[in-house]
Amino acid sequence: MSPRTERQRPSAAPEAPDAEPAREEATTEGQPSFFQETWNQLGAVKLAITLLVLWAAFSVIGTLVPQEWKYSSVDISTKQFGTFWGPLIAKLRFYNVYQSLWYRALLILLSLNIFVCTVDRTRTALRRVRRPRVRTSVPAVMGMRASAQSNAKASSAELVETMRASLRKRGYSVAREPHERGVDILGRRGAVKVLGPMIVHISILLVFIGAIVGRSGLMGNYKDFARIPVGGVHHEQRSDQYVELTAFDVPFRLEADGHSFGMTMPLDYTSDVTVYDPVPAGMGDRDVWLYRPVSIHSMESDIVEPAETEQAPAIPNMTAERVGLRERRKASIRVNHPLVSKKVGLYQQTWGLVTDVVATDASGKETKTTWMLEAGVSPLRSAFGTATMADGKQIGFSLDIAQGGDNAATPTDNRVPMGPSLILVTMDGSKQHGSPIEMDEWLTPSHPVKYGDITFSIGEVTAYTGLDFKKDPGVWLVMVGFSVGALGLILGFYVPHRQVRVKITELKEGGSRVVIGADAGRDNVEEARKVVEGLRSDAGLK
Amino acid sequence: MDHATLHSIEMLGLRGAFAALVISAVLYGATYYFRASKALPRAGAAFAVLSLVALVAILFARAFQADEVRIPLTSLFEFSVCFVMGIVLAFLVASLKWNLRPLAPPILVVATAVYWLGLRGYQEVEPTIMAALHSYWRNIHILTAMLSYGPLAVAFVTGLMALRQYRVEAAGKAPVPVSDGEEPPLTADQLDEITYRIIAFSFPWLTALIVTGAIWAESAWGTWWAWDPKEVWSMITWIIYAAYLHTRLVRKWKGMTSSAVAVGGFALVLFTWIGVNWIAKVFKVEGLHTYGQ
Repeated sequence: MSPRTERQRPSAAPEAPDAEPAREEATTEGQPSFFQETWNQLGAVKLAITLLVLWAAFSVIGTLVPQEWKYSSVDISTKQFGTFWGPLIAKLRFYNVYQSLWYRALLILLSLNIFVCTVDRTRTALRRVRRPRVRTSVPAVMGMRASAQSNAKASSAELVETMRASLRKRGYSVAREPHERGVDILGRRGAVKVLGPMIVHISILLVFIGAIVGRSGLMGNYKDFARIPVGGVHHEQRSDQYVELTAFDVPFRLEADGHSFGMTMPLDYTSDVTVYDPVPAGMGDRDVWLYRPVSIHSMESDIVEPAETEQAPAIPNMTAERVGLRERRKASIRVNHPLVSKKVGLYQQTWGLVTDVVATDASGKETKTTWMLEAGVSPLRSAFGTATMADGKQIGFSLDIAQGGDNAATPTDNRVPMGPSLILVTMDGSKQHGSPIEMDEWLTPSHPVKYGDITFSIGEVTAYTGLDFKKDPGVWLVMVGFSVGALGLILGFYVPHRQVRVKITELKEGGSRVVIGADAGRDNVEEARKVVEGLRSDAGLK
Repeated sequence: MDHATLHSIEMLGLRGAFAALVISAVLYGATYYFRASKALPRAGAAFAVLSLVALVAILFARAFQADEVRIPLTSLFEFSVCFVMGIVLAFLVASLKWNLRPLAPPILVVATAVYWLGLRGYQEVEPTIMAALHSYWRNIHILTAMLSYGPLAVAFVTGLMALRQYRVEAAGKAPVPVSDGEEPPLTADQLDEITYRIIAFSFPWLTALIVTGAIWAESAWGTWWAWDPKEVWSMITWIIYAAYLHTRLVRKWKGMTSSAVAVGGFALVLFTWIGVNWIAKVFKVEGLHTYGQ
């Protein structure tokens, strides 16, 4: 049958060339010591399988139980999950599975298992690669995937050279071992394959170590967040650098024809930033005022307004210090394109709008509130501003984002225009009374909305960017682990391991007996046969 | 090409892929009764290839319907198209190496079922996608999923057949007589070996799926691992297949035990794909991977 039509019939033969190298058993006579026995058990494959299954099973818990600290309270947990599961979840820390002691203990045990297994087997694997067993027997050679034997008139010395050259021509590395009546030859390709599993194990350990380094807090990892308006400067305290948002590009249109507007979800948004290092005031490219709260219970503040005057603008409960800034670099930050500065990653996390909403009653009295709309859609302020109508009725007002509406631009398919709209409620004291009053019109800077005798207008809309500041000193180790793991996987799973064994035995009557056997990857019988036939042909054997 | 034409192509591809998968399964199934026929399996393979063409047409049509041309791999339905492509490709390639003809009907039934599940989540093309999805890692990530999940589906069927065959052989039943020119059916050990070979091919791609996701998450969110339910379930799937590979080293656990693990592993693949969304709804466990819905 031609190679194309001949199907491979997978054999159930033991996986001799591809099997994991055996561990070295204790060489001392008698029973292994307690330490040796413990070491052997720690590195056992059955333990590995058991730990892997346990790891999988316990990991499921965190996907079924919301991972929220509030469930550490037995009362809250019981209310949420019932009288049986509630206390269990609270006491066993199922609300924080992946940081719990028992989960980490499992990972430590698994790491030990991987470590012991790697130490045990790497030595054997390296020896198999560097100093393979060349000596063989005729039955062993004949038992390979393809084999043949014949007599030759040539001497063993001539045949050895011919076989070596032939194997080298086919890309095999060759080793030979003479014995009393001849020579055994071993040709190999892809022998490094046996190192694949060990390399993968090492990569897993590297990833674990990287995760510990990055998450434990021991090496200065942290996470921070800041909202920076256009023109504003944020002091990233831990890395002591200043980040100014010079421009923020959002494909967001607030005014179209003065009455209506459309607001599409941004495809992408970019924060143009300038990063500064602090220098003494007056020594850098510009100065800013750094504000710190006077109360020792508050966190340090960020600031920041680029000051035009020598005098710091007065801010209650804050002290001011003038800081010089020297520009270090300019960059654009987008989602998936962070900026790394002083080993801290600046990630585009969100964006928003800031605006004032002013309610002017009939007497001209103004009530102003400032609203932040996160991602342009979610108000961050939940309280209502209040205004009083002429008849004494209190009206609460807030800003929201509404879709569609009479003034909406024509939507196409799924694209629904959105815009800031008012939500009005009747207040009863400080509480909302009844349902919100829906307003059809959108509120734009040039289009105030009237309700009764109150006019609502919107001020200038300023954009801000929301940046995450993250430092993870272990991430490079994790990436190294990934790369090493990729190498190990390619070696272990995709590099075929080919072996050819040739046993040349001198005959008493003259000439030599040549037995050739070949393996060419699992079940690749056709390839093995080709190698055997090629060698026989090169040696002139029939 | 205008939107209407592209939409028509997409609809044609949707129906054509389904029909081709079903016809292919039927043709292969007919070989149970017409064992000597060579035309039937060839026709079955032709329709399997046709289903691939239809699936590619779906992706092509969707790629050009968005506001900006993009490889359409952002929704559950779009991923299911890739998933089915992976299954059919894996089956066709594996058929060149082994006699998987008797297993073709169940494999194609699995492909059809995955396709049907994906159709249930069908959505029109979104004109725009969120910023986090604007990354070439998305395409690499989905490609690795296709190259891992597809073959694992085939391994699921071969593993299931191995388990069945082990029971048949253990019961001492006589093998089905084979006519001249026909290949004898695969034994349980051979099916087990094929299952192993397929999983051994898929496992590095399954690892790459997690790794590419982690690298993408690091560039998008600054966190390469967030214990998100989707991430955790993909990790669980990887763990179980790693355990499967280790069972091959324990002599007593080769055979039935390892085949059972291979079958169970695919259940986890399906759960990672669609079950996680259900968990989020029922157990209200929030995650970062809601964009696929």
